[in-house]
Amino acid sequence: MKNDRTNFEKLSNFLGNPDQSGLEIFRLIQTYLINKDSTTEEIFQSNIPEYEINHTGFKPIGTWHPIEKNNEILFIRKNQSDSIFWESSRTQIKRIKEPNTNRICFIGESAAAGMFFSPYYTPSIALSNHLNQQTDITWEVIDLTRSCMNAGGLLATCEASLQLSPDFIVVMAGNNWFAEAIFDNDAPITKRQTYSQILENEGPDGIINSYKKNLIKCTEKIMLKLDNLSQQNNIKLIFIVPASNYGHWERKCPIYWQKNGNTSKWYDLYQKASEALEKSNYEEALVLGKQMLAIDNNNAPTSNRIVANSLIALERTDEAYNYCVAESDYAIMHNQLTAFPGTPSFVRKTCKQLGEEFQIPIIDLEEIFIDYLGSKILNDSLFVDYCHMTPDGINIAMAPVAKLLSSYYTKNEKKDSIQSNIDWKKLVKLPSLNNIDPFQLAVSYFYISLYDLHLNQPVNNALNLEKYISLFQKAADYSEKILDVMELYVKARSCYYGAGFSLSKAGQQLFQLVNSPLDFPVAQASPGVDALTIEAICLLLERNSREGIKLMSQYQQHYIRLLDKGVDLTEPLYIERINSIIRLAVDSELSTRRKIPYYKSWWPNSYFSLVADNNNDLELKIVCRIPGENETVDNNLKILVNNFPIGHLRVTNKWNKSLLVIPKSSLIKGFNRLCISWPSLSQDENKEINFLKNRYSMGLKINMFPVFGEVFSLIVSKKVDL
Amino acid sequence: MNIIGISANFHDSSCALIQDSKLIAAVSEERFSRFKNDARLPIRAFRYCLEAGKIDITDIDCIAYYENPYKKLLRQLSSGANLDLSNELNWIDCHKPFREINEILGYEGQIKFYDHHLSHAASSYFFSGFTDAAILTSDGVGEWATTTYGIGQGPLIELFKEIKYPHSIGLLYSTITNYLGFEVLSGEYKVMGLAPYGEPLFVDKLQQLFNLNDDGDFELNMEYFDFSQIDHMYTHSLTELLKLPPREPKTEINQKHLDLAKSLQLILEQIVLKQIHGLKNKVTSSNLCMSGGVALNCVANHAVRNSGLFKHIFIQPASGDAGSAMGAAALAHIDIIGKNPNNQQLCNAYLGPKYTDEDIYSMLSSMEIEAFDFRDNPSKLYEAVVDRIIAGKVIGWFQGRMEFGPRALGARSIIADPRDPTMRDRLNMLVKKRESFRPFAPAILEEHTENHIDLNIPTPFMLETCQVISTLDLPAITHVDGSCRPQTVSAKTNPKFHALLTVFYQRTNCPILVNTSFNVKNEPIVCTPLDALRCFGNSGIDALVLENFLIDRTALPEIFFTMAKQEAEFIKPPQDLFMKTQTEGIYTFI
Repeated sequence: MKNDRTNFEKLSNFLGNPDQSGLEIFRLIQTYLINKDSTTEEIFQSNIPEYEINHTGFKPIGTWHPIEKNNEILFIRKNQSDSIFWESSRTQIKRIKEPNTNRICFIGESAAAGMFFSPYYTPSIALSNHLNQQTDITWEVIDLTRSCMNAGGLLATCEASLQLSPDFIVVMAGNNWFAEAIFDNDAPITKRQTYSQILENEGPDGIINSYKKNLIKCTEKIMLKLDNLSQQNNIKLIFIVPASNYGHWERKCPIYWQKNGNTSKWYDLYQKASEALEKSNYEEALVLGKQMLAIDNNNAPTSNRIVANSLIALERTDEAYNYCVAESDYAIMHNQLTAFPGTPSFVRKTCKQLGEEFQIPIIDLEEIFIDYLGSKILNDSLFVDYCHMTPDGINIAMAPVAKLLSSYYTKNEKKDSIQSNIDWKKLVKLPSLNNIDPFQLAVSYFYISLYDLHLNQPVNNALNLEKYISLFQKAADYSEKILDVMELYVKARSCYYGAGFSLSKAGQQLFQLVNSPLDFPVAQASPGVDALTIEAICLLLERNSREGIKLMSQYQQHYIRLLDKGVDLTEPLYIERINSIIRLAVDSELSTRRKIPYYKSWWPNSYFSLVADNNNDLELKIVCRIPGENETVDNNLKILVNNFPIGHLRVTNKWNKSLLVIPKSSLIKGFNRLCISWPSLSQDENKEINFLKNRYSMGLKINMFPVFGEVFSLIVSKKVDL
Repeated sequence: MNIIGISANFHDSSCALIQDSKLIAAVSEERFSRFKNDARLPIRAFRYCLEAGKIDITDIDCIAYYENPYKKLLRQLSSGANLDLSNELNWIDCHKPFREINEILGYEGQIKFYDHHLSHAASSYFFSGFTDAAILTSDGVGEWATTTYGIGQGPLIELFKEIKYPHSIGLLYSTITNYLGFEVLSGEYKVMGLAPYGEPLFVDKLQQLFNLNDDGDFELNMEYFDFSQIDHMYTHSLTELLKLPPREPKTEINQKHLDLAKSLQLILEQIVLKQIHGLKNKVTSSNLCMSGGVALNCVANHAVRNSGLFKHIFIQPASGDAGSAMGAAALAHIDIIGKNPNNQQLCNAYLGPKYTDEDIYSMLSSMEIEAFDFRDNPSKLYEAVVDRIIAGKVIGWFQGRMEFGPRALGARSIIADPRDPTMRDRLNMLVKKRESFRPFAPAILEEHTENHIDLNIPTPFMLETCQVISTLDLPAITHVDGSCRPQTVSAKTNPKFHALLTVFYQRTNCPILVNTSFNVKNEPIVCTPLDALRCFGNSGIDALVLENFLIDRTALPEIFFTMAKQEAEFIKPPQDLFMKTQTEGIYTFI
């Protein structure tokens, strides 16, 4: 223990300086002295559990662990913390392949796993089918794909797969490569200092550029490591770059602070563009979208999507392509916000360049799909969501891979590239869904529909009920039995406001009707009231002569009952997610427990689900405020229910409490939509960016995106007439 | 007038609300978040306190924080805290508590903060009902103080003497806890439970670890301690002294470990008694208030009572840092209003959320879980429960408002027949899934205590041990040395639990039940009916009582238990699917 306390007193006084300048200086010194490059390290930390070599002399490959049995080494499926993410039907892998067999280890992420169709139809199965039906050689394709596999996990699995002495390693990856996550509120100190410097020198756009550079660097390192692995072990490696759904998936997210009053202007344009899209005024939406892009330097997913949607609607699809690519590229950079897995164009380009340099055969699925479809806007004919493929998509994707692999056993053919005139398309004509139980397909499309409804948020907030009903109808078209599953889903979701899902009888029955263990969490993790999903399912049930309306009414009753005491619509249950959010975290608190003490809106409009009957007026007590320094600046916000204005309030930057009445005439029996329409942003942008820079400098968390308003509580209850 | 008290950022974050001079809510964050010892800002506990008080954020007059982070920083710097610059060093940021109260909780108003041990002292004295008292607080460390001696008179507390870091009884106990392979801050209780199995063979050696005078002045011999490390608190010298290697976690416990635990317990009692003597010499009151983590040592508390130095002793149910939220709120109350928030002794700890029969009926019916419904005839519920207890069943008992503090007191309890010789092992292995040596505590009808336990005062908070003197054979609650840690139950403070005990007594002539906390290992005590259902499914409990509903295990399909187990595994701190998570040190006060 140090004795010279005078110095420590001085130091603690310095650090405790109320203006926090001492903290800032300390952090500067800290990062100066650390002096380590943290930009690429974390990407190589594997998210797969690590094990040592055991007594057999081998170590696990994914969830398959080595044992010795009858003088043979087998890798047996063993339950571990991430087993749910691996292929679910294979119980064992023999270390030594059968004689006269070509062995392929197929390694990759959820797209490579055939998410939603696993285990009955996957890229591994499709590849195996193509190869074994087209050649005289016996091929064994071992599916070592894993959903959520990160770059480190990919490399670890490739290395572990060497224990199987494969003839080929086929890697399909790139969707889950996140470089230092940008706009990352939980970044370590070194990164925050870096961001602070970038904000100082280049502004927020600089962080995007930095992210791009870092991800390219990471990609280079990954490709080099794969090449080394291939060379050192004399194993042929083929790399498949995944593709993304441009036509039917939207990656909406807010914009960070701009300059010169443009942030507010961008959001105003956004409001107008949204309305234009809703009214099918595509020319107008296109103009507005381009004005948005002029503000955000083409860096915002939302504006790119608006322009893309407009161009697609105007049948100018070739022009739309670049905007779709930009949307996907920039969406990846918003950690915890819209970070849908996807391979950015600059990663695709880097992979191809290095593939050529290292002589690794590269199959670019985007090129393949464009070639096959005859259109650059890849869509739901090939994808079920942002990157996971349909069975047809899987079939098409694996055809060129099979062709390339088989060419290694054919003389006088080029082995290291796919050319557009190679006739891999013949392979695609084989039906992909033979011998698959229609009910399995129905189950797949049911979960796909849930996933879509929960994550695919349209850029203009429009709720297209018929579109969502048709998603579920697709599942029913495969098998009517799926209607039973849908009923169970609604019943399970009504249990204790969704939190009782898995412990309910309906949930337990549902659990036994999944294709793979990963399906159930998709249903379990559904957000709160989830009005649109429930309504779409129940209406579909009704159309199929089931008592859908009655079921919906029973579901709604649980929530309506709560109005007697009052419900706070800022609880996670009721907040309508208008950002496109994917859960990057195993977070049990996302849907049913409060994670933040009050609600913040990153958009001009906030939406909440209000489940009510229309027998009574309702009382609404709201405590809210708007950000900003100037307490005397006040603004009005509007509250609407089902687009019916019910009042406006004066708000300041201090919490204001107000009371309104929601007249029963504005209510629909059942699901209602309450909207808070916030006033325009009034903060000084330069001050805000400066503030963020200073906070980063102090090693503190920030919020890069402007906040329109905050709601501490939004309590709705039945109005009691005295 | 609404005053919120907050303790956070170290362990067991909590929130308390004093409204119009009355403590109306107090709860720990872990119960809502389901992460044991949750140290994060108590967001959910905060929201609950507002709901309980029917107020919103604009109605709060003051938030009181339980310690002084600026003083604490000085101690951390001075004591050679781990300054590895490649770590985040979040502890350097002494502004964090107040910044987060503003930014994360959204609070705009006045924030007060008080010294850590003053908050401890206040949490006991101002809820004791005493108009004057001697005060002893003792824990690991606050800012600098590890033990304080004080006097309370009316609305004033004066802490006139303190022992400073690193000389800490709490850290001494934690060091040996660590040495015995248990987790610091949660394993101390286990060490206390181990002690009766051992012999005091290490007392002489342990006495070399410190100096103690008759006034209770205490100094650690730092040759044996190192509080700057992440994974251990002792030096190699301790190993050489004890001639016993440190026990690896989860390995077998041998007799030497038991002897060490026993020796430590005796040493603790010795120190605390000396301190009490010292305090008595300075303060003339016949009342004593104790607080701080060391005051959760029930065995030592009993020794203090037996000393007869003080006629009346009060220890509040959440004497660790969680309870400091109450203390801070009380201090703010005095600052603002000028008088004690509470003139009566805190007689029950039921300060958390409750759920109505309607809530539970709605849950059970929607989930299609078969249950007996006793709403029309609640007295039949007690009969049905007692039937099952007598048949050897283990019952999950969920009633009324949740307790505040680490003990279950008949609101969120697992109960069973104390006469059953197999019950302790069953409860440990199948139900709680914890170490076999852990004893269970009894709940006893207050009016029958004198016939069964050697304690003639109410002990509603289970904070004191005593000897079992009953003629009944009570193997499930009698520890190996004949002691128990009872909760006395009165009709006034917990009518339902009292009614259940009464029915059991009428049927069996035994006014005692096993009462252990409703949770399994590594899980916080249950809070909501759904938590109870999940724990029921994830343990060996035979029947679950949720207010006026009873569910038998046999009525549920096997898959229910599979799902409950899966659900329980799903509940963990947010874990990024793509990035690796970080590990934490054993004792993060540094």
